[in-house]
Amino acid sequence: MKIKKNSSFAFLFIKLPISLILIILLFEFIAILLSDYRAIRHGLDRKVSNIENNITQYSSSTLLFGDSITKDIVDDFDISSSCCNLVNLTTNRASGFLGAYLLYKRYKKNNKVPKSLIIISTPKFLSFFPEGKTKELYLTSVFNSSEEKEIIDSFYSNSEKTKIGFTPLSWVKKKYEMTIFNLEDKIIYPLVNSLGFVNIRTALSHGEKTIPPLNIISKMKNNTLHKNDKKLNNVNSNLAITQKMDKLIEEFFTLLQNDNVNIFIAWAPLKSSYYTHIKTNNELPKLEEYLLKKAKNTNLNINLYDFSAKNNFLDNSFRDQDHLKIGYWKTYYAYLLKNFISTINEEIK
Amino acid sequence: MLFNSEIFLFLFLPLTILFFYIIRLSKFKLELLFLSASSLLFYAWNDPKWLLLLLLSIFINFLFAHWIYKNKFKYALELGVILNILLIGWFKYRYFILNSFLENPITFNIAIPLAISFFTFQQIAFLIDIQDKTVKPLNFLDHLFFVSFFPQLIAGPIVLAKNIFPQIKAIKNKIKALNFITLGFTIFFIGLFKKVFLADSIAPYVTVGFNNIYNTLTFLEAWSIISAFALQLYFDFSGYSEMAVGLGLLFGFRLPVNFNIPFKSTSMIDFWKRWHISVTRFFMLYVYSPLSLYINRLNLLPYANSILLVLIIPTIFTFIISGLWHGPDWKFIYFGLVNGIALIINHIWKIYKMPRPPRLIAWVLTMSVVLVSFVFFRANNTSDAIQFLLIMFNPFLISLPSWLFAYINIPGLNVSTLPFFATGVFTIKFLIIFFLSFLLALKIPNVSDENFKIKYNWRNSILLSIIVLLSFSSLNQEVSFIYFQF
Repeated sequence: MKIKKNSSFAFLFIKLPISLILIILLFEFIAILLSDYRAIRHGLDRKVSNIENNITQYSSSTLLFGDSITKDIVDDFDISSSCCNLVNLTTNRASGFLGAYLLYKRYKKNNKVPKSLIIISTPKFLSFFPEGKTKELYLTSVFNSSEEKEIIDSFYSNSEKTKIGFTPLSWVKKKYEMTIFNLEDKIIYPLVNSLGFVNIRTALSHGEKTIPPLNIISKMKNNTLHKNDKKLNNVNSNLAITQKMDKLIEEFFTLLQNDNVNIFIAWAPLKSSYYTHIKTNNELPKLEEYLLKKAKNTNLNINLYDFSAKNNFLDNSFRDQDHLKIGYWKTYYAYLLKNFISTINEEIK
Repeated sequence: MLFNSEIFLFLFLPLTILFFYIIRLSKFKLELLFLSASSLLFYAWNDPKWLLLLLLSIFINFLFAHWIYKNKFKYALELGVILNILLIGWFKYRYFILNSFLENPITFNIAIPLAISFFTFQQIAFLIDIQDKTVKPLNFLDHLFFVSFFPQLIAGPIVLAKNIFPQIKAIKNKIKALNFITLGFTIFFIGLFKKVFLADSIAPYVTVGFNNIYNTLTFLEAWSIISAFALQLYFDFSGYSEMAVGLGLLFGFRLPVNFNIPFKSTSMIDFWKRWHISVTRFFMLYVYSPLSLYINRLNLLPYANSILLVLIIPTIFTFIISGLWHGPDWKFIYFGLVNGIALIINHIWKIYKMPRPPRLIAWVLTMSVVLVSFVFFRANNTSDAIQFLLIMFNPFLISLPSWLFAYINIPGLNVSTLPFFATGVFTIKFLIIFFLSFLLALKIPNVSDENFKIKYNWRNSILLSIIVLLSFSSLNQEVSFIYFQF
């Protein structure tokens, strides 16, 4: 019995602590080996990784930014026009407009300054700033150079920056960023990336599907609306111009002006009820007025477009809050998008 | 306070262990007083107002225990049980009962006192044991400790007096000291791992699934979601129970086993011998058996079939009560009913000596019934559960996810954007977590069993280290999918 007790105490006070240390060190070592590989968790990681690795170098190009409603189309369909390289920098809303700004800066580092920049997004994309875990996943862990961290920090107040729990484990996790506490991002994803399971080669290119002519697209319409479609309510609109947003837009516009880039902003399709709401409440016109004023102040030439103004996107043409249904609606938007981009390219010429 | 909270792990537990062993090694017999005081602090930490209720319940049951033992008045046991039922009925079921009689049910959001189901039922069992002379009443401090001992207070396992009293005696006599510390830590961390690493990793998938019940969920998705929930529930609850057993051992107490690898069951009888054992035992001993005996004594055999009298009626009644014990909602009654009916069929099958199906078929049938009952357990309400079951039992609702269409094209199969298998990455992550969890659910041994032994070698110390570190890495994680907001 005495021997047993001793062995159990040796286990608890000697073997276990040594094992803990060994395992922590082992994971740190593996993380160092994999440190050249970025964690590829979502589309934004893929795009940054592509830019970082100089996989595609563009000389004369049009950059396309936008949130997921546009990304959904651009990833699938060939919406390019013959004149220029169209670089697909569409992301989802999670990284916000700040993510687009940082992505533009990253792009510029490794490529020539583009001729023009097109943003086709929901209006909310411009006012959205991620918080908490979302911020960590889509901003701070993606744009992690010291300069980028500084930029991100400058948009968040001190109280938002230092949300560290006061409990010991949270403190250790935050302070030492030990691999064992973030295996997914420091080992699993980089390992998957290093083994070549992630395709980053096509991260900046548009899709390959050919858009059918309009008469064919129209025939698809009958199959898309069902009376049993669940009505999805829109979240409360939040297009208020905050201080952070004002600062970001000013910085971004100034940078574009310095780079001599043409900018085109278009509002992606919005659910008709939501669109009517933000129009009648004067939220969208106010936002547009603000953007034009800001552009004027920074001597930037800006052009605004609105996909919902000429096309009625019924509420049940959306499969969820922000994405058009696969089939007619998605293809129809692809058709509109291609036309829009080719018109812009004509204008630039 | 929760076992998986940092305040518990890094403050409450170390300090309680430290002071307990200082007292334990001293000549003072203050262990029970200290553990009772710590337990009350543990209980009151998040919501102190219910502490008074707990103390009141303990005090009333303490008085009744003595009155019953001394035969103070004729209906002492009945009155004691009724008082306990009134207490839980008022705090947990009053609106549910009221709504059952109303044409337009009122919506309610009542705060249910923490652990009321556990400490009430534990004390009802205690009063019945005293009446049966299985145990003797205790002094107030021992009674307070028996009910409030923090490892088992919040979510069981339900401890029976006859099992814990000899251990209280042993602690008082300072018989056991440090024998079980290492084993206690090991079991505790295995439980913590099950709860925070496994159960909490599955939870967000299940939430996403159940949030999409009305959003064109398909057949395969529904079965995947409910199977994932079964694993989540198992790891969550068995993890908590193992933490309780581990904590008990740290203070020299052996608490009862609550789970015994239930997904190995090949019959419903087998399943209920392995799932939530302490509660099943409670309902068996204090509801099913007395009722069955009572009906038997009524001498109704000339009027009805014996199977109906001694099996069907008591089983259905017991499972309705046990369903309701989980919460004030009809869905829990249906949860109980599904299990009760399946158990009756299983017993009748055995009684009439019908052929045993092959093991695999028996396992599939058992798990299917369990999963159907879990739909009622997890759904927000009965109508959601029925909608979910309609999907589960409609094999024509099969569709290929649109992301997979790029790689596989099965002629005749619909292609659509699926609400659950929405993206390739999500689906692959889900499948990895699901199959890993399933494997672990079958492979992790029943560590809270008395016969469980661990070899204190390097291999196990490495394994335990990984378990500890992975558990710590998962503490305080936001259990939701941020990907899905966008």
